Amino acid sequence: MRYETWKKLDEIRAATQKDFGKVVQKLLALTLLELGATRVTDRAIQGIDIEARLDDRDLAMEVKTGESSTVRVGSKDLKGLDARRSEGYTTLLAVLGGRLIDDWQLLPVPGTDLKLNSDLEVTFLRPYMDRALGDRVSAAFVEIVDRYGIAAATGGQLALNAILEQHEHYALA
Amino acid sequence: MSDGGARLRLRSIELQRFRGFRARTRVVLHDGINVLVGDNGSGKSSVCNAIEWCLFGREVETKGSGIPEYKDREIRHRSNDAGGMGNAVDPMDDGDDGHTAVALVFAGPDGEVTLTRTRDADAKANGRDDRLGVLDATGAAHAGVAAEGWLAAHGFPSWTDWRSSYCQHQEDARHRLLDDHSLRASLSALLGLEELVDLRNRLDAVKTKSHVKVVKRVEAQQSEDLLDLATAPGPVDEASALCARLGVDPQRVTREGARGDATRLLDSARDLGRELGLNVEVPESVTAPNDLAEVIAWAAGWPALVRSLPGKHSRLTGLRKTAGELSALILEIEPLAQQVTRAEEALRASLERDGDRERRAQALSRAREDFNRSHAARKAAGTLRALLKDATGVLNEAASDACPVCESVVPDLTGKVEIRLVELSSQVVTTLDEACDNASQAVQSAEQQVTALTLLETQLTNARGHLESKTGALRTRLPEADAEAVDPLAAARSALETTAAEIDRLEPLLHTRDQGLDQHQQDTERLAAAARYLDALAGQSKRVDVITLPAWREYQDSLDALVSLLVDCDSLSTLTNDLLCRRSEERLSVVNRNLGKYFSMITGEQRAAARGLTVKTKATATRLSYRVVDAHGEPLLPILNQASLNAIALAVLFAQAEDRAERGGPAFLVLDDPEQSLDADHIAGLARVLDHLTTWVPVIVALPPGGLETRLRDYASGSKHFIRLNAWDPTTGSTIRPAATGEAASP
Repeated sequence: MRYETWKKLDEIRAATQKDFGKVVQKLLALTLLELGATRVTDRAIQGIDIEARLDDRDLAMEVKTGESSTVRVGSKDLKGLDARRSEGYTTLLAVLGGRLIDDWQLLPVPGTDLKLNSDLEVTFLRPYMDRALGDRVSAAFVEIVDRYGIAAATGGQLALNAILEQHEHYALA
Repeated sequence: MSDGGARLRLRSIELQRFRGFRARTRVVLHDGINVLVGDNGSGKSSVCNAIEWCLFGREVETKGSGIPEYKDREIRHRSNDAGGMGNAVDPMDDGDDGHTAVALVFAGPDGEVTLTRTRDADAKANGRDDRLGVLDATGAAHAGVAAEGWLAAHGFPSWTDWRSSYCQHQEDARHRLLDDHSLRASLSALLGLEELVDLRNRLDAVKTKSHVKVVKRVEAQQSEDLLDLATAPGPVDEASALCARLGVDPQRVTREGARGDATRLLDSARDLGRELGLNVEVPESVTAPNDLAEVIAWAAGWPALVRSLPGKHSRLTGLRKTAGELSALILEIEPLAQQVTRAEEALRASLERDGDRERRAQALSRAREDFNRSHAARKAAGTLRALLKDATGVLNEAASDACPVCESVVPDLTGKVEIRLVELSSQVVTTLDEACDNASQAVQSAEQQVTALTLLETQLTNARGHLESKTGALRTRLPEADAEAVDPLAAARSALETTAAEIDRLEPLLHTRDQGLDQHQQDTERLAAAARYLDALAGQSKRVDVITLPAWREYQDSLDALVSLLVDCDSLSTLTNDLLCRRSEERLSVVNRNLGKYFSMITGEQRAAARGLTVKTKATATRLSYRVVDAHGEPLLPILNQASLNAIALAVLFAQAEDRAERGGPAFLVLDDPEQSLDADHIAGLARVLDHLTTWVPVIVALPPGGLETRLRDYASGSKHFIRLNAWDPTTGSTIRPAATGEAASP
C-alpha cells in the first residue's frame, strides 16, 4: 500500500490499540460504500463482520488484520460464513497484513487452503485471493484512509460510526 | 517395471573385464529359477552386481554387515586385458581397447533389447563417465541420457526401487528392516506406493522451509527498501526546510502563486531600474511553467548586472572615494602644519634668547678661553703646593724652632709653619678648582646653545619637508582650479565640503538601489525555494507511485507465481499423502496376506502364526508411517533374532515380487546368498518359496554349493537351471563351467 496509508494506519493502531481491528473494519465498510455498495451492514460484536451488496453480489466478510506478516483464523470465524453461504452469499475472508507491502486480500471461503488456529503468512494466501475485488478495495481504501484517517485516529469507532451513519446504505447491527 | 518392462524377460548377461571376469563371458538365463553356484570368490556376486552396474552404473556400496565393497575400484579389480566387448551398443563387438563392459539381453514381444554399459580403461584417470547404451527391438540405438530416458519410459525401476524391491545382496536383507529409511522404502514398495512416495518426496523437496524463508526474506527486504524510499529525507523535505528558512509557508505554495510572485519581482526590478536611471531590459511577464525557471535565472543575475552599470550610483562611489582621500590627507596635513609652526616659534624664541649662531660661537670661544686660563691657574697652584710641601720638608729637616730668618725661637715653629702652609695652599687650590669648574660649565652651556640651535633648525626643516610632501599629494586631489592654491589645506577643506554635500544628495539614491537589490535578491531566493518545492512535490508524487509502476506489478506477479508454485506443491504434497493413505489402506490386507504367506512358507505355519506378522500404517496430514507389529500390535522387529529378521525381509521382498508380477511388474528377482543366518528349516522353507515364486517371476539366485542349492536341486518342482562357476583362477579369472547334462533342464 502507499506509504502515507500505511503510516496513517500505524498511527490509528497506536491510538486505538485493541480496537484497531474494528476500526479497520469500519474503514473497510466505508470503502465498500465508496465502491458503490448498495447495502453495508457492519457488526460490532457477534456474527459476520461485514455484509454488503456490491455489483449485484451479496458479500459476507470476516475481517482479519495482522500486526506483521501473519493473521490468525479460527474455526469460529468460518462458522458464520458457512451460514451466510447457504443463503447465497459470497463468503470471503478480508485479510490485511501489517506491512508496507501488504494490501487487502479478499479470500473466498471455501476455496482457500487454511490451516485454522495457526498463524498464517498472508503472503502464502495470495494465490487464493479474488484479485480483481482485492485491487478495487485496496485502491479505494487508500482514499478512505486519507479522508477519514485522522477521524479514526482521534475518535476511533465512534467517530467512524458517525460518518458511516450518514450513508443511507449503511446499517450498524 | 510397468507394462513395457513386464514383457521384457532377461535372457542373458554378458560380462567383459568386470571384476573377476576377464574374458567375455555369457550367462544364459531361463524362465524359472537360475541358480548361480560356486565357491566363495568364484564370481557369483559379480554376476549379480553386473546386472546392477549395467542398469544404474552403481553397485552395492556396503553390505548389510557393513563390509565395504570398494565401489568402482572393484569393477575392474581382478580383470585382465583380454579382448572383449568394444561397442557400447553391440556387445558382440570385440574391439580390444581394454574397456569394461556388461550387457543385458532381454527378450520382448517385438524382439531382443540389449542394454550395455562400458567403462574405458583410462576412464578414471581422464575423468570420463561410463557409457550406457540401449539397442532396442527395432534396431534403434540410444546412448547416454537418451538411453536412461528409454529405460524410464519402459518401466525399468529407479535405483531406490531396485534396491528395495528387486534384489537382495549378501547379508543386507535384514538390514532393510533395521534401517528406518530402508524399511520405509521396502514397505512403501510392498504397498505399491513407490511412485506416490517419489512424487511426494519431489514435492516436499520443492516446498522446503528454505524456500518459504527466501520469500519472507525477499519480502522483508522489499518492505524495508520501500520504507527507506518513503521515509528518507527527500527533495520535498529539503525544499520545505529551505522555504521555512526563507519565510515561505510551504503549505501555501502553489504554482499560480509562484507565477504571481515572479511577475511582481519583474515589476519591482523594472521600477528600480527606472528610478536608478538604468537602461536595463526586464522580461515582460510569466505565463508558462517554464518561464518561472527562466525568470529565476534572470533575477539571480540581475543585481550583479545593476551594480556593474555606470550611473548615479557610480558617481557617488567616486565622490565617496575622493572625499575619503581628501579627508585622510587633511587629517594628516593639519598636525604637520602645526608641527612646522611650533618649530618656527621655538627657533625664533631661541634666537631671541640666545642669539644667532655667530654670537653663540663667540660665547663658546670665550668660555673655552676662560676655561683654559682657569685650568692653567689650577695647574700653577698645584706646582706651588708642591713647592710649599718641599719647604715644609726643609723645615722638618732643620728640626729647629729658631727662625732661619730672624733666628728667634718660636715654640713648635715647624708645626705651625706647616699648618699654615697647608691652609694657604688648600684655599688657593679650592679657589682655583671652583674657577675651573665654572669655566667648564660655561663651555658646556655655550656648546648646548649651539647644538640646540642646530636641532631646532633640523626639526623645522624636517617638518616643512613632510608638510610639503603631503601638501603636494593634496594638490593632486584638489579640483584643477585649486591645484595651485596658496593654501591647499583650506582649498581641500572647501573641496571636501562640496563633495560631502554632493554625497549627501546622492546617498539616498544609492541606498534605494541597495535596498531594492537586496529586496530583489530575497524575493528571488524565495521564489526559487517555492519553485524547488513545487518541483520536489511533483517528483515525490512520482516516487510514491512506485507501487503502481509496471516493475512493481511485475515483482508482485513474480512473487505470486512463486508463492502459487509453493502453495501448489504443498497442496499436491497433501493430496499425494492422501492418495498414499488411501492406496495403502486399499492394499494393506492383500500385502499382509502375501507377507504372511511368504513368512509362513519360510518359517513354518506355527512360527508365523505365533508371530502374527502384520504391517500397519499410520497416516497424518502430511506423512504416512509404517510399522511391523505382532499379533498384539506391538513392534515386532526389535525382539526378533537374525534368522527371523532375514525371513521377514525376504518375505517382504517376495511379496513385492508377486505383487509386481500381478500388476505387470518385473521379469526377474536377484538374490545373492539369501540363506545366510537361516537354519535348515528356514532353508527348506526358502526353497519352497523360490519354487513357488517361479510361478510369478524368473529368479536369479547366487548360492554356494550345498544347503539351499541342494534343496533346490533335489526338491524344487518348477523350472530350474544351474550355472556353475569354476573356482577363481589367477590366470583365467572367473569362468563358467559348461552346463552338465540335465542340470539346466526342467524336470
